[in-house]
Amino acid sequence: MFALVHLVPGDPVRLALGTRFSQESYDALRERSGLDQPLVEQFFGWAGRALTGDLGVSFRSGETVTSQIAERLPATLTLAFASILVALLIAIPLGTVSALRPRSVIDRVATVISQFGISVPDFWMGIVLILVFAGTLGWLPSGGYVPISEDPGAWFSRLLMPALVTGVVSGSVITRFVRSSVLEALGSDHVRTAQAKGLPTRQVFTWHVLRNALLPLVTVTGVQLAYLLSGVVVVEIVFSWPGLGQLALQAVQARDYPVLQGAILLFALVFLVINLVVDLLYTAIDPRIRR
Amino acid sequence: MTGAPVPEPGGSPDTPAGAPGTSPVASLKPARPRWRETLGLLARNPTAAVASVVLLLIVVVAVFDDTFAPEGANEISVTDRLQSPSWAHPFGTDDLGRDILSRVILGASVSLKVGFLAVGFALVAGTMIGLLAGYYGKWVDDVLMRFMDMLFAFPAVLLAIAVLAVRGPGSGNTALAIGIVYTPIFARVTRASVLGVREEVYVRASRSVGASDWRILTRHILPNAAPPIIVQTSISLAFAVLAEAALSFLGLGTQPPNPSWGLMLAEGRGYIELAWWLAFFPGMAIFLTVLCFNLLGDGLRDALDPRQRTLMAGGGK
Amino acid sequence: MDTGGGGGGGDNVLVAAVSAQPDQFDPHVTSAYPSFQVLENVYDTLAVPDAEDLTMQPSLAESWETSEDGLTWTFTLREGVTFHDGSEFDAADVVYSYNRIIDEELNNAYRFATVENVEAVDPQTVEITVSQPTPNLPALIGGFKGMAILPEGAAEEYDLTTEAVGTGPFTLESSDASRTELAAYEDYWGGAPGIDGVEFRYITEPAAALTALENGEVQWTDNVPPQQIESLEGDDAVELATTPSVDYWYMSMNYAREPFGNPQVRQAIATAIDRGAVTEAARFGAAQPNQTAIPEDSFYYYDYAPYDANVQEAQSLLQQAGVQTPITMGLMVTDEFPETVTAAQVIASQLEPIGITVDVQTVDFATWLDRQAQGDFDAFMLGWLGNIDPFDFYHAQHITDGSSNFQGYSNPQVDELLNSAATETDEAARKDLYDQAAKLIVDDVSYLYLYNPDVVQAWAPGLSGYEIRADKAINFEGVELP
Repeated sequence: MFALVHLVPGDPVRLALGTRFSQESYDALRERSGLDQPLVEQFFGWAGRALTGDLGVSFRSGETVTSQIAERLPATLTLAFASILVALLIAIPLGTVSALRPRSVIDRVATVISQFGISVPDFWMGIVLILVFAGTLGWLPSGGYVPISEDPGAWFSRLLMPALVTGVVSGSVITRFVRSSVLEALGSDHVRTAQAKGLPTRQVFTWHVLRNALLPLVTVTGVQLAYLLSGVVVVEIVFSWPGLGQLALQAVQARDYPVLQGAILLFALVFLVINLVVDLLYTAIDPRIRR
Repeated sequence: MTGAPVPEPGGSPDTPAGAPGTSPVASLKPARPRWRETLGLLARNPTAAVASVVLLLIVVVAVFDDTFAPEGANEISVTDRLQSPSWAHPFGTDDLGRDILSRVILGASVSLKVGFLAVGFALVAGTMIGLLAGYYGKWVDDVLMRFMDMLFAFPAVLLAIAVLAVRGPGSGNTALAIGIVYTPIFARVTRASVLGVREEVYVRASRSVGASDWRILTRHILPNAAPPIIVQTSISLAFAVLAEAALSFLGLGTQPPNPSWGLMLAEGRGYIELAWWLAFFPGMAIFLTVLCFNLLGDGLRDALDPRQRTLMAGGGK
Repeated sequence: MDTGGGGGGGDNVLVAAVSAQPDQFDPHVTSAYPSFQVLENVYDTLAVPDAEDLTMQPSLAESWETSEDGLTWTFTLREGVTFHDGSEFDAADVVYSYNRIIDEELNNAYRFATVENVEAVDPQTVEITVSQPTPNLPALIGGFKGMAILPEGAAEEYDLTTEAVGTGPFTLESSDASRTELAAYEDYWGGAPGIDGVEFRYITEPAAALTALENGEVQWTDNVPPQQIESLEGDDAVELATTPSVDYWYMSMNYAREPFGNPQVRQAIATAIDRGAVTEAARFGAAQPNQTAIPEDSFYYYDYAPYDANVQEAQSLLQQAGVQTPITMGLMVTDEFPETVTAAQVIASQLEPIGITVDVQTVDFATWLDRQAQGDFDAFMLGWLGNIDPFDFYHAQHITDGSSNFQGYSNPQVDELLNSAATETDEAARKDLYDQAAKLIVDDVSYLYLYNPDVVQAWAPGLSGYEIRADKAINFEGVELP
C-alpha cells in the first residue's frame, strides 16, 4: 500500500511551490518534508509512528493527519448512517412486498424504482435535485454541512438531498437482495413445513421468513455501510459535503502521501470492524452458527 | 462511483448458489447450463427479451458507429454551438458546436469498450482466482482470498483513482482500474460455487479415475459455477458503464476530445440550465444501457438459477 | 424552510462562495489561490496594487524612495498600526518577515534575488539594499499577500498554518473542511470594516454555487462559469461583474523536439490558430485575444499582432520549413484549468487543415508540472496568473535558462533587452525595452500568446463597496451588505 501511494508519479514539492520558485526553495522544502530520505527509511519511520497513533503531518496544510481526518469524520459518519437509514427504509418494505407478491403490480413498480436507482449516475441525480429543490423551488439549501450541535434545522436540511441520493442508490441494491432472500426463504423447506403445520401466515412470515432473510440483508448492509464510510467522493463534491472521500481525492491530487496513507489505513480499519460486527450479528440472529 | 461493487443476490459468498442438496439432479451428474432451455425461458420473460434486443441494437450501433454517425466526433464549429435539437442536429450541438447525435453514437463504442474490457478483465482474473482458491483450498485459498479481501477492503473509487493516478487517465486505464475493482467479486462468486460442487459424487468419481485437475476444473466445476458468473457479468457491465461515468466526472476517465457517454454527461452538467440536451442524451444512453444490462441480469438469474426455476414452475405464489 | 445562513455568524456577515478550501494560512509558504483569497483580507504588505490600474500604492509603508544609484531603497512605515494580537507594527517586523522568506528559502525567495540586505534604520524606517537597480521592487514586495508582514517571532509563537496574525481588516477566527470564518478587526489602521465578518464557503460545483447565490444562501461568488455570463446578465437576482485580468494564456512548444525547434514551424502554427475562435470557445467571449502577453489596459501594453489566422499562409510556411506533413503534435493540458482542455480541442481542429494532427493529452496538475520540468512534451498550454510588472510577464519565461523557460528559448538579443529592462529606472525607457523584447519573443514564437481572460464575479444586488480587480485579489474591507 505504501509502495502504491509512492508509485504515483508527480512531485508534491513542485505542487506545493506553485509555478514560480527557485531551485533553492525546492531543495529546502524537499528536505523539510523528509522526501529526500530513501523510500524504505520513509516507510519504517511512518509505520513506527503510525503504531503510536501519529500519522504524520499533511504536506499540503501542515496540519496533523489525525486532526484532518477527525475534522471530516462527523460529516462522513452523518451522511453514511443517514444514507443507510434511507436505504433500509426503501429496501425492506419494497423488497418484502415485491417478494410476497411476485409479478404483481407492486412487484413491478418496486422493480422499476430499484432499477432506476442503480441505473442513474449519482452525480447527475444530485445536480438535478439541486436545480429543482434549491433552485426552482427554493425549498432546500444547495449543499454544505452544518454540525447538528450548531443548528439542528440547518443540519437536517443540508443532509436531506445527499442522503437521498446515496440512499436511493444503496437502497436499490439492497432491495434486490431483500427480494431474492425473502423469495428464497419462502421457498425453503422449513417455511413450507410451518405452513403445512397450519401456523398462521403472519407468524410464519415474521418468525421464519424474515429471520432467514435477515442474514443476507446484514451482509449487504455491511458492505454498503463500509462503502459509504469510505466517502462518496462524487456526491460529496456535488453537495459540497466535507467528507473523507474529498479528503482522499485531494490527497491523491496533491500527492499528499501522509494524508493518503492515513485515509487508507482508516478505510481498512473500518472494513475490518464492519466485518467483525456483521459476524457478531450473524451469531446473534442465527442460532445454528453458535454451535 | 455508483454503489459499492456488489455481488449479485443469490451468488453472494454466504449463500452459495447451487449449494449441495438444492438440486437432486446435480449430485448425480454435472449440472450443465441447459442453454436451449435457458434461452427459451429468457424469451418467455418479456422484460429480459426486450432488454436483450435493445442491447443488441446498441452493440450493433457501437460496432458500425462510423456508418451510423452523420458527422465526425470532433467536427468543431464554434459558431454552431449550443443549438437545440433540430432536423439538422436531432440531439442538438454541444459547447463546441459538435453534433451530439454523432457523439452519442461514436461514444457507444468508447463506453461499451471500457465496460467490456473492464468486466472481461475482472471475469478472467476473478474466475481463475476463484477456481483455484475453491478447488485447491488450504493455503492456496487463504493466500488468494486474503489478497482479494484486501482489494475489496479498499474503497472502490479510491482504488480506481489510485490505479489511474499511477497509470495516467484514459479509456484503457479506466477499464483496467474498474476491472481490478470488480475482480474480487468474481473471485468470491466463483469460489462459492466451486465449494458447492467440489465434494459432489461426480467430481470425486472423476478424481478417482485419475482425471487431471485441469480436466475436472474445466469439464465439471466451471460449468457448474457458470450460472452465477454469467449473471454477475451482466450486472457488472451495468456498474462498469456507471463507473466510467463517475470517473469521467472526476476528470480521470476518458479524456477529451474522445466521446464517451460519461465524459459527455460530465461536461454537459455545466450547461443543464442553458442547454439541457448536452447532458440529457448521453445521460439517456447511459441509463438505457445500464438498465438493459441489469434487466438482462435479472432475467438470466431467473432462467439459470435452479431454485428460482422451481419457484417459477409452480412453487411460487 | 431553511435557505438562509444556517451556520453563518450573524446578520451582518458576508457569505462568499469560493470553489476550493485553502490549503493552509502561512502566507510565506502557501501558493494556493484559495488561501490567498482569505489572506488578502487578513494580512498587509508594504505596498499594495491600486484597484484600478495596479500601480503600487502605499499600504504599511507610507512612502518610499530610491537612492541616486538605485541600490538603496528607503521605506517609511505607517504609524499607529497594530497586529491582531495587539502588538505594535514597526521596522523589526518587516526585517523579520523578509529574512524569514530569504533565510528559509520559502516560496517567494526568488523575489529577493537582487536583495542583499534588509535593515531597520529606526522603528519607522526600513532600508533595503540591492545588488543592482531593481525598479520593480515595490511590485515584488507588494504584488500579493505572499509577501505579508508578520509580527517578529510569529513563526515561533504561532502555528501559522492554522493561525493568522496580520494587520489587515479582518482576523482569522476559524477554518474547517466546509468554511473559513473571519471577523472584523476593530483597530484596523484603515478604519474598521463595514461588516462584522466574512464567511468563505467552499462550493466546488459552479451550478451549486450559482444556485446558492440566487436563493440568497451566499452573497458573493467567483465560481461563475463563462457560459453563464449571458444568462446572468438578465437575472435580477444576481449582480454580475467582469473586468479584464492581468492573466494570460499561451501555448509553448518544445525547442528540443523536432520539428518544433524550427521557427518557421512555430510561425506556421501561430498563423494557423484563430485566437478569436479559441477565445470564444474557451471563454464564451469573456476574454481578449492578444498576440502579446500584457493586456490592453496596462501602461506596458504593446500593440503588436503579426499573425492573422490564415491557413494558406500557414501551409506555405510549413512548406518553406521543409516539413513533411502530416506530423503529430502532443498538446499537454490539465483539467486543473478546464479552459485549457476546451481550447486545446479547438486548436486541434484548427491545425488539422495544415497537416498537423494534435494529440490532446489531459493530465492532472502534478503530472503536468513534472512533465514540464523534465521537458517531456511537444507542446503545452497554460497561463501565467496575477502578473503585475512586465518583469512578471516576460523575464523568467524567455531569458536563456530562465527558471520558467521550459521551452528552451534562447536569443541573446532578448536576453540583453530583458536584463537592461530589469534595471532601467526610467519608466518610458523601460517600456521601450520591453516592447522590443516582446516583438522578438512574438516573432520567434517563444510563447504563442492566445488571450487575456476576464475576471468574472457575481454578487447579491445591493451589495456595495466591493471592487472587482484585475489581479483577482478579493478584498471585502469596504463592503456593505444590502
